[in-house]
Amino acid sequence: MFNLIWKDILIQKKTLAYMGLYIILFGITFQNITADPFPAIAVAVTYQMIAAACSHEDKSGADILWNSMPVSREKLVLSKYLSMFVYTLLASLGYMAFAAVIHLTRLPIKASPITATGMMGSIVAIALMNSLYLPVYFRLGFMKARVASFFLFFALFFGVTFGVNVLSEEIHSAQGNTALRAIASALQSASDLQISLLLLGLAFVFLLASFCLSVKFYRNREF
Amino acid sequence: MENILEIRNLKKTFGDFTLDNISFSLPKGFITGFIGPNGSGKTTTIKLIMNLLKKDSGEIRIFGLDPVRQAKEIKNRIGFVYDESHFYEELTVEEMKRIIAPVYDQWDEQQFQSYAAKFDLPGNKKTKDLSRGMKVKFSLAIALSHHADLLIMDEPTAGLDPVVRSEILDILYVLMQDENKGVFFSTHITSDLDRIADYVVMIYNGKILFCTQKDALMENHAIIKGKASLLDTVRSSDLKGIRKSNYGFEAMSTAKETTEAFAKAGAVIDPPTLEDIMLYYTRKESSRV
Repeated sequence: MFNLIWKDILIQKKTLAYMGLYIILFGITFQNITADPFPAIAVAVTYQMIAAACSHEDKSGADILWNSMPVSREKLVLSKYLSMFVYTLLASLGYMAFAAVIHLTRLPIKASPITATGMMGSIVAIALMNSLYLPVYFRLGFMKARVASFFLFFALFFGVTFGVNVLSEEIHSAQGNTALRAIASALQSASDLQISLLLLGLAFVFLLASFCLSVKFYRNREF
Repeated sequence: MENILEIRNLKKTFGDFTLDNISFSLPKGFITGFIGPNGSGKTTTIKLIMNLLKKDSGEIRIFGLDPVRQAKEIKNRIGFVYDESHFYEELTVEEMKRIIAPVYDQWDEQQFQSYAAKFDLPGNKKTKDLSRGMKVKFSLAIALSHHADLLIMDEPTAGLDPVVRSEILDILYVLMQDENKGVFFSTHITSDLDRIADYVVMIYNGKILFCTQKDALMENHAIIKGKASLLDTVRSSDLKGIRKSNYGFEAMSTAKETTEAFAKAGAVIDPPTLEDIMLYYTRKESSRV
């Protein structure tokens, strides 16, 4: 398993070199948008690295290579899911280095340190995004997945916005669903950490379901 | 004789192509050539053996095992060389080897280094910068460095110069001194098999035309040339790819008795090469004026 994850990093030597540049660029761009730019940077970098790894696999036709060797398809799928956490770690280290340089040089750029909530928020967002992307990739391959995932993320963004609006109306209306109102009230009284942990749990359930789906799709792939 | 690979009534359809209930087996200790024109089903068959495609029906047994249920065990004992390189372009030979080696239970680093030296493989060169010949040699070095019992090669010599082809064939010849191993060698360059194959399987339009010992094949087949009138007087049901012209006919005889009958009647008999056999089996009969 280690060699499969290491391989994903090795084939992206160029992307890794650019990663530092991305972090600086995103760090400067996002500082006017949010007080804590880390989650956005972590999500952008991680997604970029997952997509780049998949692109390299596609370009070389490596599926044929790995599936001709004594490596199970489950292991190949799992390595991509685990890589996601390695990239998150790399993005975190990269951001910490960026923040340290900003702090030491006293440049007029905001680079707040990574908080527990920020880290959990990042992991939740990364898990959700890749939970959607990876099954599509394992089902369709890189080229088709690129198009399909664009529409999927587009639908998700508007779907979530729409869903939040509907729920908000339901909760704030006097005739709204009592169960929803009770959940909303419980969430309002919960701390940020409690909410983050809840979201983290949900994200892992989502990730597990996504992994099972990816395995099912990849087992049925032909090369 | 023990078989290293057995295929029975294997069927696979996609689009307008069907691999049509093919059956053949590979005996242990021999090199089996798999011949047929492009598009006849060689790569499809190999992909089915390697479980890269899913069969519609039929049975495949490798070392007596099921390639789907016992995939890991089987693939640990198979070395493969494909017609295209599937290495990551940005990785060097050494990096590529390092990520592949842990996958095999019986990886033999000393063996790999010995082949790398023999093939002059440049460890620090990116795989994208290797020539086609070097890529094949690298694939072969990997295939031979984990004590594989079966070597599956899909058009490995296509596009290679005669010197590299000859080197690869020499290695296979040495490898086959071990009687427990087997080689399945798909190619449309049949001259390679003239040199090294013990058995020949021919596929055409998704059907197996024959699976036999090469020596017996060469013994039973002959190119016959003679007057067209001979076709009316001598039994010609065992002739393939008959071509008639104003000057006479030429065809491939597939039976010794037929060859002898034509010889007695005054026809010219020539020994065929494997390429001749493939051409006569696949060409359409015609009349030329």
